[in-house]
Amino acid sequence: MKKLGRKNISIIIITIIALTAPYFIVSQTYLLHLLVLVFIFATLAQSWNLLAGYVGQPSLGHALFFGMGGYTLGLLTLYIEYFKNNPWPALILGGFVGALLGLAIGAMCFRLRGPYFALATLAATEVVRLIVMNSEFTLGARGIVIRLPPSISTPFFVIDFSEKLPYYYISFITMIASFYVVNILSKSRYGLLLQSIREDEDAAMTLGVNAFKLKILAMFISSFIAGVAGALYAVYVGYIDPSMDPGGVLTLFTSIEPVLISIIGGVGTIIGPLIGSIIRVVVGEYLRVSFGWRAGMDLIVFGALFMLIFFLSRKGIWGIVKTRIKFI
Amino acid sequence: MTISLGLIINTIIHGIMLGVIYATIAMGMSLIFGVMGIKNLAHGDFAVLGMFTSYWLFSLFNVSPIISIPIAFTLFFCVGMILTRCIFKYIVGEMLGSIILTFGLSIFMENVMLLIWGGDYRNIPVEYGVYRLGTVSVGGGYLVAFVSTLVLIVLTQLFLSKTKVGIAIKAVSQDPEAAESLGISADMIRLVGGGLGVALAGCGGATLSLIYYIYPYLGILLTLHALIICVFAGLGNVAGTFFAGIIIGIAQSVATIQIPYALTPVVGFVVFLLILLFRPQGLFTRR
Repeated sequence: MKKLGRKNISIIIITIIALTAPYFIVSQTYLLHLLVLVFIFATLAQSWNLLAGYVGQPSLGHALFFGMGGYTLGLLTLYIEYFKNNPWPALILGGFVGALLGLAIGAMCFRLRGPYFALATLAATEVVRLIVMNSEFTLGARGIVIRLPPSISTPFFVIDFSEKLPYYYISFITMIASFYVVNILSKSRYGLLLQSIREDEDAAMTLGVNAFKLKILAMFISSFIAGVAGALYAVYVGYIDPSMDPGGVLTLFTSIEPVLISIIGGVGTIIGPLIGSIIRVVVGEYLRVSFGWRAGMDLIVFGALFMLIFFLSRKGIWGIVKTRIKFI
Repeated sequence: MTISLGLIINTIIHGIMLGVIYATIAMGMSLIFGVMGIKNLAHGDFAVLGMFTSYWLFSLFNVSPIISIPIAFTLFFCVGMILTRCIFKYIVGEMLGSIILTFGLSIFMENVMLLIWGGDYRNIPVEYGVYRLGTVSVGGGYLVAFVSTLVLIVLTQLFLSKTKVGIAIKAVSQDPEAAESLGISADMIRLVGGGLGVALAGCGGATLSLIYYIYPYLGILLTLHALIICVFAGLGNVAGTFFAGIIIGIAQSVATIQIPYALTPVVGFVVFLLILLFRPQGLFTRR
């Protein structure tokens, strides 16, 4: 009981710091920009972590859900009048589109054992990317420029979306919500059932666990979160394209991000994706600034770091910290 | 574009030739999966390394690409053994671990290649002429690549089915514990199998460099092709990859007649997803 209390207090303190922090650094837009990216990628990584860490099904195509979430928002703001002035409901719709794709892939692969799920997500992402790239409806390789959401006036203040601050709060709330959902799920009865599937699917099914249904449930939640993160990313960055270069939302580079982040931070832990995301964004940005003329440098460092950490501890940095320091 | 019989025959022949090269790469992947239970997602990157080996041997020392195929084989056999000793050994039979670790290796290799050699599209400027037979015309590069790949595949099959080591590799693929109880050192066999698997990838890459452009990020596409062929044939089924490769090659080539060239990889992926959807029982040929 005492431990739980301390944990809750620390969570409240962190939340207060996070909510008030922008007022001290509001002039440093670059720092705010990095924090927004940290939150968005932490959300994406958490959705990956739910599948890989708690169900034991690593997806290599989370860019599919992320990118399609972004493209849903992009296309809605492009073609439908209502969303041009108010893109925010499209965040949820992006999540649903991601979730539908997730359900389709899950229904195909979850009846099979083995690495088929990882391979199917990898293949499906490339299929969708090539279709988006060559379709006129999605403006092909030109990508979609998402117009700035008009500012919202409230009686007390005006939310101006040309600034970073609103995005900071939106992405922070999204991240907290996703972490909360995954935390609740992992502690609930369903979470325990999911972990029993990860440990031994045969034994779990012998005891009456409907493995297929549970995996589909986890898939739905995971791809929904990834879709919302993608839509948020699209509206924040303001431009999405399907090209093969780093930065294209449907590429392997985007699929890599949640894997790197979760493995470095700690797969199968709640706080891991946030730790990983901070390291990934901050160190990645530093490397990109220092070695800007050679694009792949940050991925080389992270590829190596990733393998090293995976060898040291299967639970990432948080796992290492937790085994060294007992009182956490 | 009118579709004539000659065009169709031509595309099918080119499809077979391309498919056989994909099959070589896939065979290596299948072998590694069979011996160690590792789905090597960095496999295509070794093929790209093989392509670069061939390219640099040609442009620095003027070595003919045909000669660099056996050189690539020897080189990548050693690389594969080192890799097995240092990395693969620790993740034998671990599904999540092997996917994640080889994925990390793939990111690392692709970007190191990009860093060292840059992102240009290169090709080996060798001309072998064009051969004609009736309506069919085949580039010499294709012909050389096809023949050398066939020789490689036949030799690999003979090695796997006739020699003691080859049979031991099959035994370890089927049941490592039973094989060990019969006096086969599974570790040794894994070393050879891993070496051979990576060597096939590098060698396939060296042959592919005769007919394809060379680019650091090509690895993921080759990995995907190899995966599709492996799943089509059944994971770990080395012999079946040959025919699966040919079928995928033909399907992709014939598709180019009707759909835009940029969309051709989609055909392979759609085939892959359809197999998962409709013939999952066919995927478990080994179990």
